[in-house]
Amino acid sequence: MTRFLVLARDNPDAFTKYSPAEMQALIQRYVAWGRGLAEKGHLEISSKLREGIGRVLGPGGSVTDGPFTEAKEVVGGFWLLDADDLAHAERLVAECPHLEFGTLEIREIEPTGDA
Amino acid sequence: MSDPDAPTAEGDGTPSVTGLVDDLFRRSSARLVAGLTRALGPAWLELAEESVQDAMVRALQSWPWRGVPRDPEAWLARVAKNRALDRLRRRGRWEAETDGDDLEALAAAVGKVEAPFAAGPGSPLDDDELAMVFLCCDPSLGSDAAVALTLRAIGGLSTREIAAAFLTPEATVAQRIVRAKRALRDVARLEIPPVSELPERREAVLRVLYLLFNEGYAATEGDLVVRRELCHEAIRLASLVATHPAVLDPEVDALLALFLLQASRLPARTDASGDLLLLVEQDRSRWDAALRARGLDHLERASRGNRLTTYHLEAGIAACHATAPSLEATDWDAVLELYDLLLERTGSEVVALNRAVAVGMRDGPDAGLTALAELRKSARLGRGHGLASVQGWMLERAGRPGEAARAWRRAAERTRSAPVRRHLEARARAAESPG
Repeated sequence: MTRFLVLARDNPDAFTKYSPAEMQALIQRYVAWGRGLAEKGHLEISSKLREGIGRVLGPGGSVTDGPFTEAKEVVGGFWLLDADDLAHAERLVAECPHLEFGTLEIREIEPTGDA
Repeated sequence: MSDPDAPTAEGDGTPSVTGLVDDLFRRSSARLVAGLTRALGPAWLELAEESVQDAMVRALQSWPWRGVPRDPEAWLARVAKNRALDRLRRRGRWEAETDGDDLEALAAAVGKVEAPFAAGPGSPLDDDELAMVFLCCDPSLGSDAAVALTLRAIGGLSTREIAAAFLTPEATVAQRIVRAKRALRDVARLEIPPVSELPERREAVLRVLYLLFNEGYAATEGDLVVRRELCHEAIRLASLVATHPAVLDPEVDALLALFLLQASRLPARTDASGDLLLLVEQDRSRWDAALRARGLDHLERASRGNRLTTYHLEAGIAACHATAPSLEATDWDAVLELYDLLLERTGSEVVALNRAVAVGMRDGPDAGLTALAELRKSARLGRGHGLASVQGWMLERAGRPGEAARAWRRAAERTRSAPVRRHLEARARAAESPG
């Protein structure tokens, strides 16, 4: 098994056009998707990043208020998946409803230690 | 609950796999907007809506990762209230003048809004929502604006969905809603109208609900799913008005009976063709017996008053159809009598057209064609496909297939709806090649 980090980016303004019923349906599909992954043992961690709270530190002591202000798309959360390989991980996220309005970036995590 | 993973039926109020009760967001949205608008006053309807929308977006951005909270309604209420307070404060900071409203008092009122959902029927929440219905259907608003605002603020439909249902550009719908909210700024309080104003205000509400239902039921174009939604929402709101002790009235029962009886036939309308044609062909076993029973029950209640409104007449006709075992075994005498009364009241050409069908059914196709001939002068009917469709249908029954086919073709040219056109062309082809 290889571990993959899946970063979910979206533009929060994209949601303002949804009706309450559509938003509920979307949440239900997310949850069902995550549950499917967990049941098959593919999901390690599912984490939401707190909105608007963060800092970007740079060389020479530069500090900015996170990436939220300028970036059109921000990372809203991430999942840590176990998959055979990149192609497998891609298949696992293909059904994620996030792809209807945002992007998913899949990155393989290099094993630590001697592996 | 037997199987926690079993998919739940629509609207039965049980939690789904994800722990969210069906329709929870819609209902929560309507009630929270109503609760906040009650606390702040109708002038702040927009802020109430935006705050509730914010809360739902927050849920969408959080629950997929963190899971659904144990008490989702309380979560939404808390976030919506906080967002409302934020927005109030921001406004207080940037605008020296806030129309004389005391922001501290407003904030305190928001704080008192309760997470509304544990309450059962007859709770103050129903009062809030009912008061919202009266607000959105204020007689000072045009009917287009009132329908759009009702669907948006109470029905929880997006502007895009409303536009799709009414075949109206999204920008037009958005503008109607903005204007309607502006017009309501001077309304002092969100409340159920006092008894002295009630009859007039109730009539305005019923008119809007009638339009709303008809748009969903009778339109032959637009998004089918959304249109069904309009019917359900009209039924839900009419039920709210019909059961609330402060406002119930036989007229409301008549309207609700009409909705329920019509809706009981919805399951058999598999394609989006015209009602008239399909009534002939509908598989009556697919009609919804439970809705029909509720409809007849409300029709019974509607007869308790001493007024006979057009809603009573229309519901009576719908009851004749809904209880008839077949088209031929329909009580056409009763239907015709009701149409006569309705025509007298409304003078509507569409009613006259339907009446001609009843004449044809009771007295034979030749009598029906005679009744139709009188309507040929109508410019309005001439533009639509209804008159020609009915002609085709009667000519066919009169054993004149060639003329029937020509009438069907004429009808097909006059509809903008692709499914209706396909249907009419199929009828024409069938009439041209008998056997």
